[in-house]
Amino acid sequence: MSRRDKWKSARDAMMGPLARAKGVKNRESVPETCCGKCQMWSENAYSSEGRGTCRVLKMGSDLNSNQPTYVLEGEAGLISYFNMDASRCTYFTKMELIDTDGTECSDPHFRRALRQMKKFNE
Amino acid sequence: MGQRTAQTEKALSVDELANRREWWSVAQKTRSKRLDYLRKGVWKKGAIGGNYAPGIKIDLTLPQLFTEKWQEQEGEPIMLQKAHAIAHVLDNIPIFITDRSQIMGYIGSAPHQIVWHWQGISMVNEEIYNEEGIIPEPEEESLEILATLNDYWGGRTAVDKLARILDPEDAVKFMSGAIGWGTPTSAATYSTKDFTYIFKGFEALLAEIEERMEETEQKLQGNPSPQLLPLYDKLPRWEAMQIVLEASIRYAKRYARLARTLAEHFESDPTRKEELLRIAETCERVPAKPPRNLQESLQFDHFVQVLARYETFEGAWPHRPDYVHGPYYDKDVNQEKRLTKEEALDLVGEHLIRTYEVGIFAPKWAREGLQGITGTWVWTMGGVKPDGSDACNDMTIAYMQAARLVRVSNPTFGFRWHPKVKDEVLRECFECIRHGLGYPSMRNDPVLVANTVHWYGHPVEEARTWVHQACMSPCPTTKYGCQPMRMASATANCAKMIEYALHDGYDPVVNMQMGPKTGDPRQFKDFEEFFGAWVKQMEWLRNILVRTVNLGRVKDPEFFGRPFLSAIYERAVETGTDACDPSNGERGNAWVTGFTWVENADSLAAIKKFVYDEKKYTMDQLMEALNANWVGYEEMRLDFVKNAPKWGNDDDYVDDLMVRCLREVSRHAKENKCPSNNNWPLLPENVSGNIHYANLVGALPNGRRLGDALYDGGISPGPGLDKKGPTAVLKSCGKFDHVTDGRAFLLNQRLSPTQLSGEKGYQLWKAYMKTWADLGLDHVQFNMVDDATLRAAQKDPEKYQEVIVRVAGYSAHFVDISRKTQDNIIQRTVQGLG
Ligand code: SF4
Repeated sequence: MSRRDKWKSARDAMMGPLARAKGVKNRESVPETCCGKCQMWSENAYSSEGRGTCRVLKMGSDLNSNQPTYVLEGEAGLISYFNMDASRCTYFTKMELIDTDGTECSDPHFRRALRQMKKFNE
Repeated sequence: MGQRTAQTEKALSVDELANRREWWSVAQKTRSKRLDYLRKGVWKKGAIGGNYAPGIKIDLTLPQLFTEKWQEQEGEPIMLQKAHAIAHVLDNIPIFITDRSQIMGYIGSAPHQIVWHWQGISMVNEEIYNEEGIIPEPEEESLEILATLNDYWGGRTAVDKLARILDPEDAVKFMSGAIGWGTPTSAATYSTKDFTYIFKGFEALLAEIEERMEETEQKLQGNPSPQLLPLYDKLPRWEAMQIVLEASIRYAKRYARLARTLAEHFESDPTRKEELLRIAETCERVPAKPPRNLQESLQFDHFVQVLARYETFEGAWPHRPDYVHGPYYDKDVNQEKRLTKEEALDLVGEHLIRTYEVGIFAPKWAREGLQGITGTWVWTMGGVKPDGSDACNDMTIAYMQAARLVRVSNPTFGFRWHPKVKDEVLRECFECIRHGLGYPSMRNDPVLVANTVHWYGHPVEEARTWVHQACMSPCPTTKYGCQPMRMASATANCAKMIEYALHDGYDPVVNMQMGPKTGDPRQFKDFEEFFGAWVKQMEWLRNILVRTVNLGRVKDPEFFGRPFLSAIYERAVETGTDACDPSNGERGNAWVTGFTWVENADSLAAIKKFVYDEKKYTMDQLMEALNANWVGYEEMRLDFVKNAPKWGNDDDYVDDLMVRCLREVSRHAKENKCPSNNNWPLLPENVSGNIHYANLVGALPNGRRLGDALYDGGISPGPGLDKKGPTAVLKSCGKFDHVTDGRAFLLNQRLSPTQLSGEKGYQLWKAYMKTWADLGLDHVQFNMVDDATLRAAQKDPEKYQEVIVRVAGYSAHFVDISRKTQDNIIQRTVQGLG
């Protein structure tokens, strides 16, 4: 794969799904086990619409196929979303949301519950 | 202090409160009833920590109006399409008049709302959808509206379009958020405005546009030639400018009608009735025609700023209002005696409040980086006229006095100090600082004028018109000097330079190979080799940011479009171009904002001393400790914190490294070129990016751990690490040239309010300022609130709503910033003078 193609797939993952989400229903759905609740997930610092990076898996990993693929080597981390279904990810490690109201900035983990994540705080 | 009963509080006189340095209570007791009412009634639009205050909602009327017209005009050239959409908004957005107010114009359709422009950045559109607390009731209905808006704009926004043409590697790295912030589009931007041109009045600008169009149409009737072809594109741009200017005049006249209706049919108080009729007369006059008095000039100015924000998110407010409005004040107060000083002060105070209430949605990174405020509205005061003579006037003083009365955190002021500033004006600056406002920041005018000439070749007369383009960077307000777009989108998280030099370009925090592979530092034979790796990482980081912003800049007219700004830009009107089109003669005034800069010098000094010079630790040991985030290496970490040389102590060991780093960057700044083929110097400053980036910068050799706040920025020493007193700080900062070694350098200092009380305090501060000026520093700003007050405010925030602190390039109400930022400010060394 050329350098351009390799990064193109990372870019498409980054700029993709949420921009294509249609309607309220898709946007509201957050599976019980999702990347946003995983300790390995870092919220993207550039934008807070729910994009982030996985700290273990690399680009090329695929959690949606019947047989998930886990790529552990590479130049770019897997781009994932807070509401990505992680029920089949064997690396999922549950995180406590320690700053659920978000008034404190920069806690060590994903610290701001997006509106859709509120149901997990209750 | 927080223990007093309500009764004793009531009984305290203004003098007693002043003696206790409870300046916020002094303000409440001394401002006029009108200002008190307006100040207390204004909604807080800046985020508290990272969140909006309860009750603040996103405005859905503006984007719906904009989008419905935009869709109707689909297929038109973008500037024309957008002009129709803006005009539709201006004709239909609900307007209101706040009781007792005299200055009109508001962005959004209700006082508690913040706005956003859906055409700009789809990620932010989605963020609004996901945001807790700001969705208007009924929530279900609002979510439907938001989802419909987002579905339409997803893939169509300016940033979506840009991301498709950026190199994909650059796009991913830029948007990782690790190396910098900002958006390479004028969807999140700010622009210099030339009021000598704008104050001709919009009717005059319309006439000028009409003339250009007629001239061009005539040319197009002539002999066909390739030279004529570009003219076809100019006509719709001029038409777009006409549409927005006409809509702007109509918008003002809607206020005139409303004020007149209220006066004639609803108002029973004769004084207010008179005021409403004056408001009507004012809004009928401006912005159509030139202002004739202070109320008209302030109103014209505010309309322009509001209208610019109906077009886009202007995140800063480059302005020099004392210079712009001074002549009208002089005419009304001194010559014609149409207004008393108190009446003028009411207008000036309200000008500050109306500005404070402007609220535009900021994505979380911007809210964290600019906690407590809605944007960096740093207004420029003082300075010199184009001929070099003192420009301070009665409005300079009126703004300083009004600021102490209304105590807003936005706008703040930057004062252009020069040797001819009169003592009475300098005292006003000091009073604001002594009252704990944290502003004005003091800027060294002769140094910054020379700097502006040095870096971009602006003629000296033009350089002397400079305003703060954002927090810090001077920009001339002239035809070819004005900057239409935020070129500081190349905002660098500079601590990554040293971090990448240590990790072979790999970013352990975002799990990505970011910078070039410069090698494993364990294999480096000497410090020079390590420094070489740092230089390569620095160049890479600047390059990626600058080329992204350059591309965003040239594509902006195609992807976003600025009909309103173009209509008030002389060079755009003259050439029939978008104001952001760099080919219309802009000289260029770009800079790279350097967040988290000093960590480089302190870390390099620690490595040089402990690893290479003294060989106290091996690089292997250091890397092991850093990879463990110093966990298990506390003794070693403290050695690096306490015993490695630190910037700001007049210690040549580390200061020489700072100078060396700056000179490397300045060399590279001339190799990077903006679309106007001008330079990209570095401007170290931080806003509250030191908190935002705390989780994005890994462990560093200065002893910092991942998650610890970074230094408060610019060239300010690390909090508590400047142990040799204020003169040593100034001496360190004076070891490089503030003209040629960078664009500007932010310096935070905390001074003791006790020591600086009374006349003696003023004289001490003045002597300090003399040393500062003699050493050729370009900037300094002060916090003068004691720890006891700040701790009391942490405990009992309700009581301390108007306590202000200087965060970095801006001020904020202390209660609106996160605990981590509050602690970071308390940790700063309080310097004793004299
Ligand atoms: S769930 Fe899996 S993919 Fe998602 S962040 Fe955790 S480890 Fe990564």
